[in-house]
Amino acid sequence: MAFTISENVAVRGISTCVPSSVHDINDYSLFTETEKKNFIHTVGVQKRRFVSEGICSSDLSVAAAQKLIDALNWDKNDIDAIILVTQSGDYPIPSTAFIIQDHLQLPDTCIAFDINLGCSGYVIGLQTISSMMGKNKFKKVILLATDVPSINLSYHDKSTYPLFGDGASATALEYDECAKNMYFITQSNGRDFDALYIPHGGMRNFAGPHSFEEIEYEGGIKRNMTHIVLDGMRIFNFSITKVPPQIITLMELCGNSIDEIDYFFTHQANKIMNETIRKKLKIQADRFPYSIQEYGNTSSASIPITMSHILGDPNKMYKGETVLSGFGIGLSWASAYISFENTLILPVSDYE
Amino acid sequence: MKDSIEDFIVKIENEFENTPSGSLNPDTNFRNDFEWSSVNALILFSMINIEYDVILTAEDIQPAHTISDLYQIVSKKLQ
Repeated sequence: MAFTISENVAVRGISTCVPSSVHDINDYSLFTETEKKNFIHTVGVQKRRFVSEGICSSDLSVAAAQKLIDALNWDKNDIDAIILVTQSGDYPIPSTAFIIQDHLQLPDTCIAFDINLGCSGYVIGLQTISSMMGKNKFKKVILLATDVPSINLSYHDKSTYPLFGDGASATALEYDECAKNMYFITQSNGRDFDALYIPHGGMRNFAGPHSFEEIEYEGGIKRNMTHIVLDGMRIFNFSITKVPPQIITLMELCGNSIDEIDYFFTHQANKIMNETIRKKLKIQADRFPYSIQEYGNTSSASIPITMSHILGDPNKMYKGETVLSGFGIGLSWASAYISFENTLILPVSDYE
Repeated sequence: MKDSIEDFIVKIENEFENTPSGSLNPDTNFRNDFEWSSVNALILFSMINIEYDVILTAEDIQPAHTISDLYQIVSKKLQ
């Protein structure tokens, strides 16, 4: 098990950004009225945001990062690294982080690269980058977690189209000798990689005309090979089996108990799935917040978007014992225990 | 299995808005009698996992039609 501790790293701030175009489940023409009601009640999504044509991950990421850099009054010349967690980069190559570095006008002394992860990506991104920070390592870093899944959704797939939404986040981390340790556990299972994937468009199945032919599946679902395929039941069973014991192990390893945690911010996968995890861990509802009703499942951006949605206040600093947990694509699951102190969390902003 | 089939039925009724107390019995065909869908399957699987720590798959319940069939499948998994 990949259990790691990051020392002397503080989270200074979090900023999130979503497209302004709101898509309401009640407007989804393939759902009957009963299906709309059941979906909103059980899966938890009422609305989500989709990018308009031409807007990419880099655009949302730059907006979130610029807002954060301004709010923290950081000098861009001090930023050592800009890392983007995404599965929807602007181009197949190079990493979208380079484009963001350019748009933010960060200096050439700044390293930029992408990490290809989704649901668990925010936590694994924090683990990766915080382990690269320290006295003789990086001092100031921006971690971006952004996805625009709407581009790869089939309108005729009821299991994905109403579930996912687009969103971006930027998190500022700084070397700080007084910062408390951050604890991480990360795990993966590549056997089930095809429980959530896009079949064509990579090097294994290069996209061609046949990739865009619509195929009909059971239940009236239609999609082509460039659309997201989700085996909801496999992801559900994986998540409710793997996530609760990982959080219990994390608590044991960092010598804390679930009762001492102020908030559990989890990946906004699907409300019934997250509620099963919450009930198995016997966590009270007020310490296990949601943003899925407003923004849907926003992949790697969903944990920071939930933090912004619940805690966002430009005039307050957040302090709290916090567990973060992301789970899904890979399959992978990752949890972190972080004592936030003096962290500026901005409210969710609309991309303009 | 810690629960009788009556207890099992009460727990199912508690999970679904449109199934008032006393509306289900062991012979109720859950596929026809309460708008069975993949979303409702998740509600049922969630309750069964929380209450009995049992994981069900779509294949597991394929042969099941009645509440009694479901109860037998969960009981068997607990043996």
